[in-house]
Order: sequence, then C-alpha cells, then structure tokens
Amino acid sequence: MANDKSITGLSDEEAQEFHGIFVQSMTGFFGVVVFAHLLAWLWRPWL
Amino acid sequence: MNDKLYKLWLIIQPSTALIGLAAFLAVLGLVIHMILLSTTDFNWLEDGMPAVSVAPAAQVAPQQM
Repeated sequence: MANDKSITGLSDEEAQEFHGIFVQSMTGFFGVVVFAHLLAWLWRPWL
Repeated sequence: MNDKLYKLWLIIQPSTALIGLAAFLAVLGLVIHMILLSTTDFNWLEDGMPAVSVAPAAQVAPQQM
C-alpha cells in the first residue's frame, strides 16, 4: 500500500530514482558554483 | 534521516520543484550580477581592465609624425 501511488503520483522506486539524479545534478551544480566563487575570490576578495 | 530523504518526492511534485528551483537560481544569479555591476569595486566591465586604450594611442600618434 505504501509502495503504491502517492500524492505526487510517484512510486517509491520512481522517487528514489529521481532523488538520485537530483542529488547528483545538485552536487555538480554546486561544484561549478564553488569553482566560480573561487575564481571570483582570486580576482577580487570581498572580505 | 538522509536515506529516507527521497520520500520528499512523494509529497512535492518533481516537475514543479525543478521549474521553481531553476527560476529561483536564475533570478538569484541575475540579481547578484546586477548588484556587482552597480558597484565600483566589482564592476568588471568599466574598471579600465585590461587597459584603457585612449591614453597610449594618443602618445604614439605624435611620435610617428
């Protein structure tokens, strides 16, 4: 019953699959963001 | 706690969350860029870098005559 459709219509497996891709994408994006801030800090430190 | 975090997508619509997140990050990025361009310390377009080309050109021209 809990493994069936939810409020969003996703099954437990689909939610896990989406979560994996989401976390991976978010990690990649934040990696780019941190790198950009590193370059910006080397260009002109703001503190 | 972390291993059950995926259950968020049973409550929140992934498509809505992705569109909302993309819109938020785009607006945030644009706002930060605009704020930086409005300052004198961090404006990278009108800081005279790498060089202001008016002064050297004016000096070279008389020497060649």
